[in-house]
Amino acid sequence: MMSARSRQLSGIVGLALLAVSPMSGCGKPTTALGHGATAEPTVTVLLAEGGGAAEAAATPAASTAIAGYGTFKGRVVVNGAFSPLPALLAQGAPTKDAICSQKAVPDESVVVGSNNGLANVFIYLKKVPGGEVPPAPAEPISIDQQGCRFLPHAVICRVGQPLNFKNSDPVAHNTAFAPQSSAGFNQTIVANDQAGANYTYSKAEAVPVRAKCDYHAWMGSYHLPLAHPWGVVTGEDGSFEIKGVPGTTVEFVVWHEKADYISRSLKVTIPVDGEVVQEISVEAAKLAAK
Amino acid sequence: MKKSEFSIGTRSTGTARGRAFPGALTAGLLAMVALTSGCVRHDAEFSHREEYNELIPEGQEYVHKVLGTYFGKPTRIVAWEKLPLKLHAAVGTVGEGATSLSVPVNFTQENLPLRPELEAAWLSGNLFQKNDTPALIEAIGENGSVMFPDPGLAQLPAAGDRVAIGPGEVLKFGRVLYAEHCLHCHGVSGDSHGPTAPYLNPKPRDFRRGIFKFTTTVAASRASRTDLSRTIDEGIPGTYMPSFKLLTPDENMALVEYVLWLAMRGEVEYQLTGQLKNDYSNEAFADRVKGGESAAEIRKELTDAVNGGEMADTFNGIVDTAVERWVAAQEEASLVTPTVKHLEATAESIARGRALYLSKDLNCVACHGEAGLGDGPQTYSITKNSAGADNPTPGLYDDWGNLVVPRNLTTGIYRGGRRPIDLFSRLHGGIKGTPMPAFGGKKSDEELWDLVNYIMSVPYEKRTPGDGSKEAKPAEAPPQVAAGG
Repeated sequence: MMSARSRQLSGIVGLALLAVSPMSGCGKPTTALGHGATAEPTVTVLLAEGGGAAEAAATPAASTAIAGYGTFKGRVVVNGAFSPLPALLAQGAPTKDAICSQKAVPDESVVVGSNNGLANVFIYLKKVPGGEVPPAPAEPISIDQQGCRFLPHAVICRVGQPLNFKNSDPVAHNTAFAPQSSAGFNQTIVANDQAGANYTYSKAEAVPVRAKCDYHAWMGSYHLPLAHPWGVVTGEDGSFEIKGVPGTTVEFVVWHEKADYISRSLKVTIPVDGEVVQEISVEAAKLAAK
Repeated sequence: MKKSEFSIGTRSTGTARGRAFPGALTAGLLAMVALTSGCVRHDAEFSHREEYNELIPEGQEYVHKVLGTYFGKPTRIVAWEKLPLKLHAAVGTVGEGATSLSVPVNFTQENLPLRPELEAAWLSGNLFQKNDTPALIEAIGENGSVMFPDPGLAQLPAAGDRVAIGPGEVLKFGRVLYAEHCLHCHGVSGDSHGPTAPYLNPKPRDFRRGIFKFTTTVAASRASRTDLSRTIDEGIPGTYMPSFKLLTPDENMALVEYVLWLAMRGEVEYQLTGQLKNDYSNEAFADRVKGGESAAEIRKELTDAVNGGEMADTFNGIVDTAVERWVAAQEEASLVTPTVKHLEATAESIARGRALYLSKDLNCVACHGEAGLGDGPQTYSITKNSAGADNPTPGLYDDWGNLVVPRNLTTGIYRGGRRPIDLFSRLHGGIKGTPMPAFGGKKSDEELWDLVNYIMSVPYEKRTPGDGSKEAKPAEAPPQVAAGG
């Protein structure tokens, strides 16, 4: 039962109205199906006063004091032999848009560089441990479509920072993605369109989102909107470095498009003004074609 | 939602039920009597998403309780006032000079004709949740005063109190109509798994993502009420969705609200399960245990998040976002509005449209084919799903994982309607949830009208498309079979 105090807390008060249980079923033969479709529905009214937004504002998240900041760096390394993937579209292959096979279109779902480093791995803080979160930069992040590939293939943006999808090819592309928490996007980017189309995330995503082009089925790229700046995509040699991480015990997510979660929660204690160097290894078997 | 409202993982029956009127209590007693006389009422249940079944039991329990509390069951509807829907027959505030037999009401919303035997429910003020029997109205008097039969109201509402006449009546009405007309294809939950659905192609719409394909709103926007209303009225030509023009405007309105309500319920479940599955799906759970966390700890983490109110913030955020998007979709700014009038379908305009159709800029040919038969090269390509894995068969897929065929433009059948503005909206905003992209903003409105003129001319082309040198060949007549042969 709700007291007045709890009502203030919740901002939502239930009000059960007369629920007339239709007794029509009694006296008539009842079916095994019950009275699903023909049952007279009853209604309970639930008030919404204030709503969640006001409550969320009224109780600011407790912010832990952060003594300082440190660096997290290292490499993601493939453990075991991995043979390079064949091109999605070989150079000179017959295709409806000649520009696409002018150069080979590589299969970027697994890119292993020097010393078995794994590229395009997303490493990002699962949640902000406290302290100040710098505001999102206003300048857009550009994702070009060139030679029927998305460039860059993997990118991290901030919530509120526009993504700008361009087209440097003489043929039409579209960019389409359906994120979990934000509105979907499916826009044609006409030939040689350098102005492009913008999309700005209003909410962070838990895992990277796949963007595709429907004109060229092989085209795919990944982007990840974060509510904080502490995320990075590994370079060609699998190396990564995140500067200015809050100096406390933090949890990183390590995610790759083929391996899915490499780690759901990589706990690292960041020393203030110091650095942690870590090698993250991935079994080659996890990168095999699914 | 308050902190102590949900407790999962324990044997609790905590739900956000307020104080019930004795009426509800009476119903309970009646039901008990009914039980003893061997008459059982089985409540219909909403189905859950597939992702729900992949959650650990604590996660399932939480999602089930939340949806049950804020949306109820198919025959036990919860009309949650936070949702931007027309819930009640009418809503208003009490004016000055109420007597026990007549209460003046300034109506702010009148959704259904008011009739006797509707209840008046006081949503605020002294009478809110008072222990008296619900007030059944007798009639609506002049200047909007609500009349009550003798002996009238035991207590008077104060001026300014909010009142709902026929609380939840629109949803109730919508539910009955939905059960009669829609449920056998679209399913009880609007999940497109009704009993008839397996035999249909294309599949019925699954409302639970909040995505509707044929809209007159811009690319980034949800569907408007008008769009849903039109779809119910006109049906979707070329599919199993028939026209329901014989329904009255009130019935159409109630159905739209009920479908929107199912869409919002589905959306909340989609988001909740989507957020929980990253940490609390069976797969994640197994992964985390393998990574050295203890099973009990993971379960405790979830129950703490629910019981400590962290999940409440998540839930509120989800609902707020859904509400904002549906509200925004109803605004005029979300409508596709051409800046120029529909150009006359001259030969020049059609030729310009054809050039656009073939142009590298739009490349309609990739899916719809040179002749507009819906057989472009993309229909033979192996495409990938949102996880980057190959789809099971060649061709294009929509967001629900169904194989979709680009429209064959030679038939003159247009799913979203055959008015020029319908085609214009389709080109401008795309078809939501499908590979058909939006061209709005990338091509001028004049160019889009040219394209509309061309598309509408395709079924009437005298020659087969191509080089223009071949005469169209009508199909040969089928061989005649003698009756009984």
